Amino acid sequence: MQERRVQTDAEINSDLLNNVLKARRWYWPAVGISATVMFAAIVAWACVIVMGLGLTGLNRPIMWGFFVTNFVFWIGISHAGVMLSAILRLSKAEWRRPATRAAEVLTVFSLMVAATNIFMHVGRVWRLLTWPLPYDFARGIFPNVRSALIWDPSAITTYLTGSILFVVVALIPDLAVIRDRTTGVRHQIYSLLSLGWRGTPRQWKLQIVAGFLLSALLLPVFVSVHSIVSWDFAAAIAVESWHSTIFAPYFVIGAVHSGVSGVVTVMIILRYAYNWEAYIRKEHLDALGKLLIAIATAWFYFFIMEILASLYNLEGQEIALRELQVLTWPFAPMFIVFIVTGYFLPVPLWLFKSVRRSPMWMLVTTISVNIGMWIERFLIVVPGLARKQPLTFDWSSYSPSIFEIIMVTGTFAFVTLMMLLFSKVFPLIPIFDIKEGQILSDEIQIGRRKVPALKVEE
Amino acid sequence: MGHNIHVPKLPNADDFSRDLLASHASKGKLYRNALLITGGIFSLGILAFLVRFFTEEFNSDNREPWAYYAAMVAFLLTTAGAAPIVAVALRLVKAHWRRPMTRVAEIYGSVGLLTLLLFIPLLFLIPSASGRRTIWFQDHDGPFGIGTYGKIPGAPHAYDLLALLFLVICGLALLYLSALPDIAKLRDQKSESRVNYNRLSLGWYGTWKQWKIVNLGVTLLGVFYLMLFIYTMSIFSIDLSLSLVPGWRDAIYPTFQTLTALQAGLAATIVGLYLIRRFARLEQYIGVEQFWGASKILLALSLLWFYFWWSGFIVYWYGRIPAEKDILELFMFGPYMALFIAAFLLCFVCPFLILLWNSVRKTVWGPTLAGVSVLLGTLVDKIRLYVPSWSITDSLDKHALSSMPGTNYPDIGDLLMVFGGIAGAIFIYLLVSKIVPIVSFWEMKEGMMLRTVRRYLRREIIVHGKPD
Repeated sequence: MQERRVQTDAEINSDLLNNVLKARRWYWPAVGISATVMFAAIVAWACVIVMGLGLTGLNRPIMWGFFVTNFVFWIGISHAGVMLSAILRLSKAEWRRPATRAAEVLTVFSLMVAATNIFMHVGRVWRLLTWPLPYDFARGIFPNVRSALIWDPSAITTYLTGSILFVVVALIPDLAVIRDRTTGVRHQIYSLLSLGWRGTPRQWKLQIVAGFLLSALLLPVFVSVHSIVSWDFAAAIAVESWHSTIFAPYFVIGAVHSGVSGVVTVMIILRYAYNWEAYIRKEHLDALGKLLIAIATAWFYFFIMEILASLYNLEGQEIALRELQVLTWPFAPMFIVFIVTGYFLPVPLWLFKSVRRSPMWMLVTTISVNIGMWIERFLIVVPGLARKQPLTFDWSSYSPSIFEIIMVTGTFAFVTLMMLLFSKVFPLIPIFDIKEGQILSDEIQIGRRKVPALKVEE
Repeated sequence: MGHNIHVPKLPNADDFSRDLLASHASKGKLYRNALLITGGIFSLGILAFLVRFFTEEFNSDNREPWAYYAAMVAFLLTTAGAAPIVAVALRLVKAHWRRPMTRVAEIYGSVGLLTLLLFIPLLFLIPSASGRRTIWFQDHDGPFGIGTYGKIPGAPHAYDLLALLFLVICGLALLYLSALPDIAKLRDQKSESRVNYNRLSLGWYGTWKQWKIVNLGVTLLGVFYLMLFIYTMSIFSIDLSLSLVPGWRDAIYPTFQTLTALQAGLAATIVGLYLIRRFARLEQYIGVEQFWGASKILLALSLLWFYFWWSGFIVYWYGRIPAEKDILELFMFGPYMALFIAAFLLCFVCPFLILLWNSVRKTVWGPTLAGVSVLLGTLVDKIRLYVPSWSITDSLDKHALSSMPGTNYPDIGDLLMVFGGIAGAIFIYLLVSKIVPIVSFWEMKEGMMLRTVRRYLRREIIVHGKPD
């Protein structure tokens, strides 16, 4: 870590709590805009609930459209939290420190919004009761526990619970810092939230052990969530292009690609918004850029294998479907945009150090990745269903209605709003983690050069 | 945490040079015996190969007698071929504990020469891409229905061979370049070795420019090797197993094979490191730290082994498509079930149960035991996958198996070829370790320079330099 600036604890407290203790000029307008878009989405949703799914572009056989695409997309974004926080924490990567909180919080809100998409998708939301819950109200019918669609809610709620715990455990020391700097009702609330934290050795030990344990426990859950989402598709043998053995790891790596890109986007916005240049430094973006090259290339390898395996068997129906997905209007231009924005634009750019160290370029490229990854999910969901039946009279096409577009836009507004509200109440960069990083960093003299160094416990 | 941890005395660079040079110069009786034994078994393997060659038809319509041979070549590519990636990956992530193990991993690259030689006969046994399902789409309507693709000259043979050839060249170049400063050191020692280090060192004097070339070259060759390996392993597994079984359409298979290779490559490196530590008397320099660090990655790879296997299995099992049920029966629940259970236990269950415990991971024997288990499991797994693939007699343009073949048990010739090939790999490794120092001088010395012990509050801790 070359660019560290030695800062006092007081400086760190003041810098990282500036969003909590006072609001910036842009803050309330930003909250207002997000809330307005979200309100529009709620109104659109209310219309769909009252008047039915006929208001959407869903039709037979394309019963999965924008909402399911968006569900898979947000589940993907949610993978950033564990990928960055748990894996980098377990591997003791020093550069993780400013990124972990944003990643964890993004995970929680993404999961919430992903689950909301399923409520939107079913039309009459109360019908969900009859879907995942073990009920036997009157007719003696139980849900099919052998269905991946039933595994989904279990995996997602487990992941959501674990992720919330993960955020809370990491927040406790910071909440105590805020408690000690507030008065009145706020002081009382933060006192309650900080659970009597005084920073004793025993409390630190428990907090560290809990963090490590949660990291290790969340890892399998994190893998299972997107794997199960993938089996929603892969287990359905009726749809060509879905029944693929590679889907689980392909979905997981795609999710990590999209999620880490999402975290970088959020970090850069925070850097600008709160003047956190001393904390979210160019070296962090550089390290994340390198990580993204590896993740994106691994994802691309899986993508190639998936396509290759589908063509390799030389089965007419599958090949016709791929032709639709890749070469036929309206999917062909979407495919080009997906592959360019998802891989061929960002990855070659990330090979340049100057790009990796440029917040503006990293912002553009990481947003580009998520545009590509959203389209990728759309291209998985819709073309397959459009040609689900071999008989042409059952073929169909899909275009989203204005209601779906507003509701999907609303999900982005929801996550933005939640992040904004969270940042007003809690620090978005872990204060204790940054201070720990300051303590652990050191320098050693080699010949005539001073080399940055790190204190380590063997 | 850990206030009672004892910080060991850090080794001195001069002591290290002296000890390693002594160890390199005096290869004892044990070394000669190992060379003799492995060389002997290797010769028997060659003999078995020749006997099989002259007594069996040698063409692509008669693959069954060569099934075990193909499995052995796949095993060598999987283990020795993947081992240099351990060095490459740990260098890329700048893991400070990697230093004593990078050379151990890189020397496996030299085994690639043997893999390449053994692969050449297989080229005559795999059928041409013409008129069958392969990834080379030859003589078929184009995958997107846009007309017939022209012939891809030499597919798949030329491309498999070229991939392996470039991989081997890259592995050897990586080994040579990373060993160059150490070869110069041996030259300067004026030892009585018959190796002409003067010529081998290419005028290395450690100038700033030379160091820059070595550092950049090792990084670039490493990345290139990694990409080449993934490509080679993918097409090797498709052309030499997947596409030989009608109805086996498995997108995860090449990726799974690449993953198992990374697991086996790391296992081979750990086992190699243990043997070198034990028999070259380098306990002072190869500590628990290396085994501890590598064991965490091996644990993760073993878990991934299960995940990749499960991801493929559940989709087939859940789908209940007859052609896919046949594939499950062929490879898992039918004639090769015992091998599947053994591979599952050795590649996943045993390493998982061993490495689950930090107290075991933090030993020398724990990761080594897990490594041995993984190596055995990988051999069994390759036999499970390649032997049935090479024993199918159905026409390759079919979309499902017409009947379930029986178990192809090995005869004495098969066993000699399998163990001969493995012994040959060890023989080559031993020979190369006579020329190139088995532990990298320069990386170790760099590590020693970047490491110091400082007092922090009331205890001593290690400080690692992290240059850019």
